[in-house]
Amino acid sequence: KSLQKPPRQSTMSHALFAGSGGSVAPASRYLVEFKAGKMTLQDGWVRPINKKGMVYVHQSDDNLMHFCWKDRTSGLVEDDLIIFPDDCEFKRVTQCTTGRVYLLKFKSSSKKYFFWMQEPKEDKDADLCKKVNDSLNNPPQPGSGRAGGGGAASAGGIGGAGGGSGSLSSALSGLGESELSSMFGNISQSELMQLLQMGMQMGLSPSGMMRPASTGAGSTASDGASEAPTGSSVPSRVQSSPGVRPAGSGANSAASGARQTMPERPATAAASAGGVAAGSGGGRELQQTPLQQQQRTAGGRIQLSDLQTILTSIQAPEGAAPASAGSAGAQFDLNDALPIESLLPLLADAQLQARLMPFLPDSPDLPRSVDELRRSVQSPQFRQCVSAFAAALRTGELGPLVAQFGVGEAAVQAANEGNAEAFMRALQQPKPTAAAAAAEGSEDVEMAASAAKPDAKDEEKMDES
Amino acid sequence: MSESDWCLIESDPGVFTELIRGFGCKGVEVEEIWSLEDSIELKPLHGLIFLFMCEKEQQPTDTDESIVLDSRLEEEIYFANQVVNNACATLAIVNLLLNVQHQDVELGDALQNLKSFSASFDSKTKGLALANSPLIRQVHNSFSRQTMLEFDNSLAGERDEASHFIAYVPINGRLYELDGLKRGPIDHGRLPDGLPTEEWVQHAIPVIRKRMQRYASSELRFTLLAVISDRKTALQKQLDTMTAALDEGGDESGGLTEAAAAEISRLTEAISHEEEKIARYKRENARRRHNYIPMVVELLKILGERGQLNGLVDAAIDKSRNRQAWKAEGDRSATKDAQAAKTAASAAGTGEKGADAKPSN
Repeated sequence: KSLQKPPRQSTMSHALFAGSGGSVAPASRYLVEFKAGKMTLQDGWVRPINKKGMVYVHQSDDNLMHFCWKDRTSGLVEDDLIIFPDDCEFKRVTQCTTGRVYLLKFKSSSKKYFFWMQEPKEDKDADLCKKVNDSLNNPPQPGSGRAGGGGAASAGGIGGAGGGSGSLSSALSGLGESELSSMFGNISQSELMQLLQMGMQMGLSPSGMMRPASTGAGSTASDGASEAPTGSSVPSRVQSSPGVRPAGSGANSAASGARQTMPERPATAAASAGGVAAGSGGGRELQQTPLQQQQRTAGGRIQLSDLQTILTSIQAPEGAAPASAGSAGAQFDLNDALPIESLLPLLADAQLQARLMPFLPDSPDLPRSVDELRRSVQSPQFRQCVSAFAAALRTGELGPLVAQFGVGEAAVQAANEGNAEAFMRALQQPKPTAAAAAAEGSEDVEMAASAAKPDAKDEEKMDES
Repeated sequence: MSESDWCLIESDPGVFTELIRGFGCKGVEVEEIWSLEDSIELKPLHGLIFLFMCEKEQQPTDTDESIVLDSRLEEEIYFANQVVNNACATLAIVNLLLNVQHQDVELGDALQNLKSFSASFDSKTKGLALANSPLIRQVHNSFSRQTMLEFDNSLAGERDEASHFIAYVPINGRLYELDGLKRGPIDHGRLPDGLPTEEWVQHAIPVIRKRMQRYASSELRFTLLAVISDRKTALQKQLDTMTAALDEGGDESGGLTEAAAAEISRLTEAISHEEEKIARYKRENARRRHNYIPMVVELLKILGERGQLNGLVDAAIDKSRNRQAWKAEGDRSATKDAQAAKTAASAAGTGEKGADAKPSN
């Protein structure tokens, strides 16, 4: 049977975080959505705007994450913010004890957006909040330079995201934390009543419960799902191009305390050095080669550091062993399939040496050499990576990532199914045609190799060899 | 300051040695020892760290041990509580180092600053100060592995375990146990009169042994780490002293005595051995920081192109099946043994619990 080649883009938007593995999502599917109203700053107070609205997060065709607010009555999307990973945090404003107020706060700028929950029940609030952070900071694709699994990572901002949507953000942008807290902490009795009255007009009782059959507020959260947010008229759509980001942005994750932090790690530091961003300009192409896709991811290169993030964001199934009966395909230990006696002969071949050399660490403490190739594959660190890779493969979440390595459709399919055996066997399948194979092969090598190379200088060197 | 800001790092002497250097501390290194008695020969020994894995429920709670809560905490002892699990190794090391007063050891700016800055804080706040130190956290995180240990562990279906570090250090003639999960340091008493400070560990050995037994289970995995003066520095000093002495009062003919020559040769060799060790630590750390997954995938592709992959997968599947079979067999016979022992015990009427019989593997 023929495998329909899915558009690359939808493979890329295959979500990596828990709960969404396995299905191929259309680009316009909202990752999170909930009813919420906007708020405004007036006379030093943050006040709710009396409009029924919806907050949703979605990923556009060009893989950028959008945080949007839509007026549920008019259908107008009044705010469409493009969010770069780690640039913002969505959190509850604890100073406001009476309402369920949340703040979208930016690290790279002082812009702030306040929202008040209009969901009937409060019990999902924390969950929704987490989902917002997760999806914004771990966009459903590899290669976009994020840190730390979910939530408030402390990386320095990538910069430049979320322009203003008029007066609201600019008015709030000058506020520091203490000013904010005084705005909420000092909330007066009249303000309190006003908030509650807002809520009551919406059909919410003081306790936040939705009254049945109220003014259309009984509609479900999915009512907006069928609308395609992209392409609709969005008066205040904001977009900052990756090029605007400060040159040192790739190094942000080096400076912070986030999980993947490595001050001197070449891969991270080079994330910004390449600065390839937006090479192909056109953001709407669905069919893209790995090279183009790679070039258009934030930062321009495959973020190898993201592998760690990906691995941590993958939720291990409860109590599952690496080769448990639950996973597809036969059980085996990947290290057994890569015994040293099979690897050493490969490493004796000059051509293969050249091909593999770029994948070695490039550190002054550990210069690249044929010797190091041999020592690497026998090192515990290498073997641990093998195990981790196998385990990650079996979760079925690694499809988009391995696709970037140019392993071929069948292998990607196996990865999506978490079938390690099928994945391996797919790698031995002959490529479609000789010509395509040659093209794909060289492109894959080039792409994979350039992913491994920390900087452009090396790339030139390798091209010469 | 949250858990997610600190990575898990490996408990490896090379990692810890480089970690300490990364903090700016000079003159120490960390070495693994395999028996408590090995520590006796290591001089000067600044402290011992006992590290073990335990199930999270088993983590130590305060008992009626003599926990120090008096003025010694302000005047003599530095003790910080563990507030972030992932930082436990660094915490133990810092707790140990900040209590060392020895001419060989130079704390360095970062640690000295932490010590003075947090000197008047209570233990919990000291722990917070450490957890909030960007430099310490950064250095710590620079040793995390590309592939998360947590991820490995959770998928391997291992029990919910945590690693636990306990430091032993002599301070002002008494032996203390520094366990970040306890309310304060534990006082194990005065070191025997007349015992040179350098011999402190002999007094510590029985104490540590008792502690090891307390946390013992049939699968106790533990590591003993010794914090000692940097070997290379000591050797270099010796060599320098020797060469200087020879230069001054040496043989007029310019020759060396055989003994002197032998000694110089020994020292030089020992120094280069130490240099090789440091280089090895650095290589290992470089490998730890590196993500080999792209290389793994490339190797798999190569093997696939060469038509070797299917065979290797077949062989691996076979191996796995065999292991399962052996394991099943082992479990069956273990159960049989246990049952046999039980029967025998009750037949013999000793009243011993049959469950005490260890299964044979």
